[in-house]
Amino acid sequence: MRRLIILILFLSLIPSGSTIAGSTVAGEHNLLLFYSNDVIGETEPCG
Amino acid sequence: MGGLSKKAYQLEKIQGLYEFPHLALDGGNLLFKQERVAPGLLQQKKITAEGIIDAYNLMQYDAVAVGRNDLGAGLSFLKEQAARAKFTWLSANLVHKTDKKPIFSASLIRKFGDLTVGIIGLTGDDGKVQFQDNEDAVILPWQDVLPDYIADLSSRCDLLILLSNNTTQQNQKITKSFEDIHLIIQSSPSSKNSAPKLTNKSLIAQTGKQGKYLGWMLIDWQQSRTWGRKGAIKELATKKQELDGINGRISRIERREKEEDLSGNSSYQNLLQSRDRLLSTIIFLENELYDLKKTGHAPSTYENYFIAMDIKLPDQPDVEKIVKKVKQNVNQAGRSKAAKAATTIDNPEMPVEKLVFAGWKVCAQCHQPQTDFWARTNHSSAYQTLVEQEQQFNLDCLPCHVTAEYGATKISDNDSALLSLPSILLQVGCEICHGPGKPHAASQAPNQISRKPAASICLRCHTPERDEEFNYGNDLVRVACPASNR
Repeated sequence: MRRLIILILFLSLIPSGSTIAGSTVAGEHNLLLFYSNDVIGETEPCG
Repeated sequence: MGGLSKKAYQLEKIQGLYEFPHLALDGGNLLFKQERVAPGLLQQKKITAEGIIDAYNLMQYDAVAVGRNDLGAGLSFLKEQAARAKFTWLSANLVHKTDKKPIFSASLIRKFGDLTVGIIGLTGDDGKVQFQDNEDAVILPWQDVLPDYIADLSSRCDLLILLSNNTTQQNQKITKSFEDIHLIIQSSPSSKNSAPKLTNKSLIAQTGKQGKYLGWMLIDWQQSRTWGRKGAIKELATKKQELDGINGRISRIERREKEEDLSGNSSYQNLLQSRDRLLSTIIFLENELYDLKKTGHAPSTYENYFIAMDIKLPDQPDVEKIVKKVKQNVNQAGRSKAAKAATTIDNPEMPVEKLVFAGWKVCAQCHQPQTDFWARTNHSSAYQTLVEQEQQFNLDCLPCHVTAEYGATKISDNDSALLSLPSILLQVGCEICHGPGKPHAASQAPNQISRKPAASICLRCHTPERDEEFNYGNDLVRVACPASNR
């Protein structure tokens, strides 16, 4: 039980803003970028 | 363009998964396969190009770089299409000959909250683009135009993206000259996907040729405006996974054993020690990243994915409708052309005697077992698949679904002839592999016919783009006729 309490204490010390997907720190921006090229090609389904 | 409806579906799906702002960009060479479309194909190619613009409008693309192939139907056609497009065609170096000002937009700025993204377009120039005399256009070297645009945009933007259809080598040179470009989306002639690669201070990425893939990146852009080593973040993720595993094992032991027995359980004690060590490492890494972010020095990071436009993927219904309509219109255009040629597919008056190909029925007169075997292969029904798809007048499709070409012998170059072939040539017939049979049929001389097709004969149609799994050795066995005694 004592170890569990220590674990919870440790985890509570980890700053929530530092997670990879978090966005709580100023200057950080998430952006979803789609990219493609050369759409026309041999992929037209002739049959 | 068959993959467009699948691409549209994936775009919608991924956008629905993340509540992040998004950008959709294309490196160019969107509309045509060649720098100049053959006159006979122009009508149907323009129909397809218009459909692609419609689809991109629906997919809410933001910007597309002008590629050399986008000029395939002439500059005026691209200008007309740019006027219809809801996205921006970008090229900083395709300029008027006279005043050297860009014909399309050179750049675009998008704002997402307090993040400003600048996008510049660059048209690749291998010196092959020949403009008509009446086209007031020239492609300038990137060295002439980029310095000013980059100086301007880098002062106003947090993230700077270049859409370039230059070669990888040229793009690498660009990264060396301009450290303020953060990301290059390229459209080089490579047929493979190229995951973002850090080159000097920029990432260079591209999807493979012919629209078979959609690339997408989740970017975590930081104040530092530099791409960082992903090592620390990857290490953190790995350590967290390890911690989950150890916690699971500890829980299982705790459920199984009585509390008083745990102190003597060496596995359990080892696990507790491992957990303590992992926690220390995780806290150290988390704090390090947090401090970097607080001071604005945290590296920007990304995750990159490629989605193959597999035939089994779902279609976005509105874009699917556009694709279907384009196919119908292309076929209709060919049908009208065929009618104009004053012949019909089964016109008995078609001057067969003028053709070098004899047709399978002539072959069957002496080679019945071989013809029977061929009749059971997909080659014999290749034209029928076009009929089923209502693409039997599509001039792009026809040359690989009929008997009209062998090496340098081509009737597929003549649109009218191709659209009015007699029914005995409306298959991938014997002569596609063995060569035009009329001289052999007349003389029956073995040296006037080819016994085995060279790989190049098969590869005319079974290109890697159309038939990724084609293997000359294996596939030849599948279609090889039984031996002939004659």
